[in-house]
Amino acid sequence: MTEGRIVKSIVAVAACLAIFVAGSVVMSAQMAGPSDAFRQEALEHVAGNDARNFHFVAAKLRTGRDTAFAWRQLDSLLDGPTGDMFWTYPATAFYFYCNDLLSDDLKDRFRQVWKRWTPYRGDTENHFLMYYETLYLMSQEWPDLPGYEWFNGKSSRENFLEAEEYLIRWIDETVTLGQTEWDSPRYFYFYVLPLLTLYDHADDPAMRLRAGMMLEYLLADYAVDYLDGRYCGAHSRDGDGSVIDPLDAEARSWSDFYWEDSLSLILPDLVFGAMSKFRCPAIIRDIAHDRDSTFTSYELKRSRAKMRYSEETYTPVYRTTWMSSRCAIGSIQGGLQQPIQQHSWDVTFAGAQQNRTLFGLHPYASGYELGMFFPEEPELMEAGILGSKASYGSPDKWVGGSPFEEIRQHERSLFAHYNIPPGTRFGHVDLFIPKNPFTKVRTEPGRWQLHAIDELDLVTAYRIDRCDSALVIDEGEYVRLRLFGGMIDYTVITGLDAIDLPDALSEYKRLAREDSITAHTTEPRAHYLFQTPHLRSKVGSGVLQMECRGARRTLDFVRGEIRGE
Amino acid sequence: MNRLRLIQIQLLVTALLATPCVGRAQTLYTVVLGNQNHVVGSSTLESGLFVSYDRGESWSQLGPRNLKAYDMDAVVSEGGRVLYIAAGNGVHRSVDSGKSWKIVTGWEMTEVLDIAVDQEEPRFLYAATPFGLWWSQDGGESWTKTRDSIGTTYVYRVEHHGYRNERTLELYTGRRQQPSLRLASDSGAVLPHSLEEFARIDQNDSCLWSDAYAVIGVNPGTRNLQTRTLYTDSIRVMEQSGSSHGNALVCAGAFTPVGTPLPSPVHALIAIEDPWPYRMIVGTFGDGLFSRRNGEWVQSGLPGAQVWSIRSFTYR
Repeated sequence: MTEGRIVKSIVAVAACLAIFVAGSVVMSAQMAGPSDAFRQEALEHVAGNDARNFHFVAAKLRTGRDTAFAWRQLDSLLDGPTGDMFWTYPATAFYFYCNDLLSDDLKDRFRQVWKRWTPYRGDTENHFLMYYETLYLMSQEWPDLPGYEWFNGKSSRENFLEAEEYLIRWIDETVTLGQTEWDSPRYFYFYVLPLLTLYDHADDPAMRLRAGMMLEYLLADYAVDYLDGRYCGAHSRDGDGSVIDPLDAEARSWSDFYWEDSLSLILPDLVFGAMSKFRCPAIIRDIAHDRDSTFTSYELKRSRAKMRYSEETYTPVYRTTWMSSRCAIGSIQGGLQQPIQQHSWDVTFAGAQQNRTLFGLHPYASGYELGMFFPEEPELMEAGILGSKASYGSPDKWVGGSPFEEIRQHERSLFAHYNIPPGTRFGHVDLFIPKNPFTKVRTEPGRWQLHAIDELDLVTAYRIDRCDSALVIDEGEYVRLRLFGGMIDYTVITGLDAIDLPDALSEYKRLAREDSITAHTTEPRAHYLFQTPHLRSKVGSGVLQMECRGARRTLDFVRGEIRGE
Repeated sequence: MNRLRLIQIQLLVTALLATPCVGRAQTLYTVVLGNQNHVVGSSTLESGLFVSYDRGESWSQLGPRNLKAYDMDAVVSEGGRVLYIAAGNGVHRSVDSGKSWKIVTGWEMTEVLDIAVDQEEPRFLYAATPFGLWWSQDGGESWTKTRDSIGTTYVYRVEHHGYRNERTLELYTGRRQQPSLRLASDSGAVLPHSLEEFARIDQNDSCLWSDAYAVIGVNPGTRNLQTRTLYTDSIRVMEQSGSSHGNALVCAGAFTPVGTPLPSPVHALIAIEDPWPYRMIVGTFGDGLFSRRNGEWVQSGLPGAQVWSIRSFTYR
């Protein structure tokens, strides 16, 4: 950065920070766990692991367990950094959370890594957060160094200001316009620790406050879609494992930690969560558990940045989730909003068993999709990725969006339409239907399929409204229903009691008729980032209001305040 | 796929008035994007900028390793001292022949696909990104982008040409088959304010863009070579079978494959004329560099590399 640009940045950032510093912070009266005892238990549990990473080294050192081994592991980690920002963010967390344990020599070794090794910045929202969070804190730690002391040739001051500018801008854009890497059961995990580290270790109180508020914001976003350990509904990016078993999602590690006092899924970043001063507000935990009444959430998100084939860089994503104590059904409008890992809709069920989800997709793969989100030539990417037998090009994949998929949802009813041109890779639609939770299956006239989960007293129904042919493929723990045809339509309705079947069938028909009219004639809700009984945020406001069981908490990013009752 | 795997060298029998863009004592640069198995966050083969001082016989790396890089440019008058790399994480600049580097762009600029130096006034730089064209007036210290369509259009490549009193900036937008654009200035540096200022460059023959990412124009008579770009200000008359056509380049007819198919698609191509007859170096996307030896394509450097571009400079 030139000096002129530095000055401009200082003025802009100072204006934002001044507002934050001047704003009063009224903390919520009640913060939830995890308790100190539970945190210690988490540390002890992790310290028993001998994997070579900063997390387990930190746990061993903090618990005084296998410390000689831990120091040797640390030595090895600093000798060979690898993995770009996935190395730097836990390294940074370790440096700050265990700083009192480090000798001057070891601190210098960290310094030398940041001088000589170039971590790539990445190309996704979570990559950029990790990269700039580490750059912010390390340039804070080593101020006044010239450019030749840093891997990127920028001085400490330049690095700090750029990182600060990015972090503030990212937070502001997310809370005013919507997140682009939204509601990801996998990548939510990677947002938490960078924000925790900023919250605990930024010298600037305004940045600490912002980081803590942003973490609450993301936790609240997860909480409204949370059901019995699962992140329900549509996701920007889902994993191959978690898409068919939502309990397998990395995000559960944090929700168990903050909302369930459970260590059933311990992932490495939890170590630093256990050391952190951050406490999750009770209201967010309560939002995650408040399922006494059914409700529908409406959220506005943004697509990943589109480089080609779109008039807008970011297109709106309308996310709807109907929630009950037994199940949730959620969706987005379809289309391509994210590359490769988009998950457009699902039904997710409560319960302890695996694979408690039902969903469908058109397994689309093409240079068009890749070219929309990545800069290389579309045909080059298509040849490379599809030729390497990666799962992206598989006709049996379970993640991905499609330009030919259109979804409408009204409360508990979902209507999916596909208009697939001839020659498209591929020309079928798959439905994932797990066997395990469903104890009864009925086939009704008119192509209705009813699946009952006795323990939940719940029936989910779907009907294939249009296709040329269908194939039922038994794949062990689940069934793949493959639908063929240029035009494919189906209806899914859930949340109904397991009442007598003749009555159930007439009820499904009524809902299918009425909800379809509503779903197809209702305009998307474009004015609120969150419009749910628990969360409310108007587009552009920068304010998130939380409400649950009489408690209220407001995150005001404009005034730099947390207001609660 | 087969089409992509074939290399088709476009040999155009045209009279080129351009001075050779490759000459003696040339320095070659290859820019490597990565390797086929690269995933952000995983260990990867070295990528970034590589340099050869012996006409491609050997290569050494300059600058950051593990860099997702697309292209480069140099300030010719500085003799190789001032270099720029267009990379996924911004523009990198060296002022000491590649010994040290600095990322001169910030968080706003990402996926920089190409960089062009105004060789008449090297403080003017142009950067092509999928999210618009950026330019600098101070050697990269600061960057500008308008809010106009030029600030949001996908720009794949940017080329700057100076000829006599006229300077021309050319943009290749969208896919390579899309029309390219040209903005000329006869009063110094080109400072575009909107996409609408640019004139569309007609491409009269789709065959020039059908299968190749790079093209060589050869005049066997004068032995003039023009690689990579078809449109420069120095080309005023092009003759084919006695006819001349302004600035348009006309397809010479059928193109014949040169040699056996290469294992990966060709993404870069350069011709070295010293010694004559010219020797081609091909950059493939996934198998590195190839050159012709005894009529066969032979792997000649950077095995496994996804080569994005090859550039040549003759420093005085």
